Amino acid sequence: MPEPLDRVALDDLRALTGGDPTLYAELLDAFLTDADQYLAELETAPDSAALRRAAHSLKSNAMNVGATSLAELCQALEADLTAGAVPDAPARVDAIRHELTAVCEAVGREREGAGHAD
Amino acid sequence: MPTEPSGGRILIVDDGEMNRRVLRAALERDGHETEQASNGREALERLAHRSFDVVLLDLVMPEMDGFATLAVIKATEALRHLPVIVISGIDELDAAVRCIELGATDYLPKPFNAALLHARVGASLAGKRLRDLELEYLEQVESVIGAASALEAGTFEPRSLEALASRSDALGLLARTFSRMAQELKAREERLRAQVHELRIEIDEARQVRQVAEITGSDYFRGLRARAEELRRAVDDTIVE
Repeated sequence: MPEPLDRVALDDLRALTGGDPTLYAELLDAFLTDADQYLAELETAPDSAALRRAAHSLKSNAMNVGATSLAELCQALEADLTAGAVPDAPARVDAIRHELTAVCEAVGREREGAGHAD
Repeated sequence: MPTEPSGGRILIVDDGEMNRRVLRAALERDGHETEQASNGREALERLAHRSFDVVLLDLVMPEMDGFATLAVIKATEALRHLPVIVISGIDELDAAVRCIELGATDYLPKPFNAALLHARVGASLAGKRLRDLELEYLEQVESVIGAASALEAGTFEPRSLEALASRSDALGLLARTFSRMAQELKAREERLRAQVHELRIEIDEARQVRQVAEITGSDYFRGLRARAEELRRAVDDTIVE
C-alpha cells in the first residue's frame, strides 16, 4: 500500500515554518480541522456548486501535505462537476472519505513525530 | 530619507484554516504583519477599515469568491492600486491569467513554496511602495503649483512650502528656490510701494505750494491784502487818537 503523504511536500511545508516544530504541528492540526469540515460539506452539500467548492478546498489542503491520491480524487470530482452533472457523486464522496481517513491517520503520525510540545 | 520598514501589512483571504495558517507562518517569518479573512465579504470589510500593502486572494471561497472580490477592489478608487496576488492551484492557471487580466498583480501557486511566496510578496510590496512614493511626490508637485497660483493671486504664504523645502531632493531644491524668489519679489514690491508712497507725498506738497502761489499771486488776493493793510492802519490810528 503506497504511503498516503509525499515526504517532499511535507518537507516544503516544514520549510514554510522555518523549522519550528510547534508551528509545523499547528499546521498539521489545521489540516485535520479543515478535513473534518470539508468532509462534512462534501456529505451534506445541497447542490453541485457547494460540492465542487468543498472538493476544491479539500484538494488544496491535500496538496499542502502531499496527499497526492486524495488531491487527485478531489480534482477529478471538481472537474467533472464543472463539466456537468455527476450521477455517481455519492460513490465518489465515499472514495474521498476512505482516502481521507488514511491521510488523516498519516498526518496524525507525522504530527506525533513533529516534536510538538503542548 | 526615512528608513523603509522591511515588512508590509498583508491581508490573507482564504476559506481554508490551513492555507491561512501556512501563509501567515511564512509571511510573519519574513517580517510582515498579517490579517486574515475567510471570504471576500470579510476581506472587503477589513480593507474598508484599515490600509494594507498587499492582498493574497484565494479564488474559490463561499459567500463571495475571489473573482467578485477582485472586481470590487479594482472598481473602488481607494483600493484599485492595491497589489492583489491571486492564490491558485496549478490546475487553475487559466483562472489566474483571467484575474491578472482583470488587474491582479501576480499569482501564487498552491501548494505554497516559501521562496516563491517571499519573491512575489516582496515584488508586490516594492511596487506598492514605489507607487506610494510617486503619489506623495505628485502631491508635493501639486503644492508647488498651488504656491505659484497663490503667488499670482497675491496670497502666497512662504510657510506653505516649509515641509516641502526640507526635502533633500530636487523637489526640495525647487521649493526652497521658489520660496526665496517669492520672498525677494515680495520685499521688492514692498520697497517699490514705499517709494511710490513717498513720491506721492512730494507731489502733493508741490501741488499745495503751487496752489498757494497761484492764490497769493492773483489780483483778487493782492486787493484783499491791500484792503487788510488799510483796515489795520485805520485801527492803529483810532487807538493812537
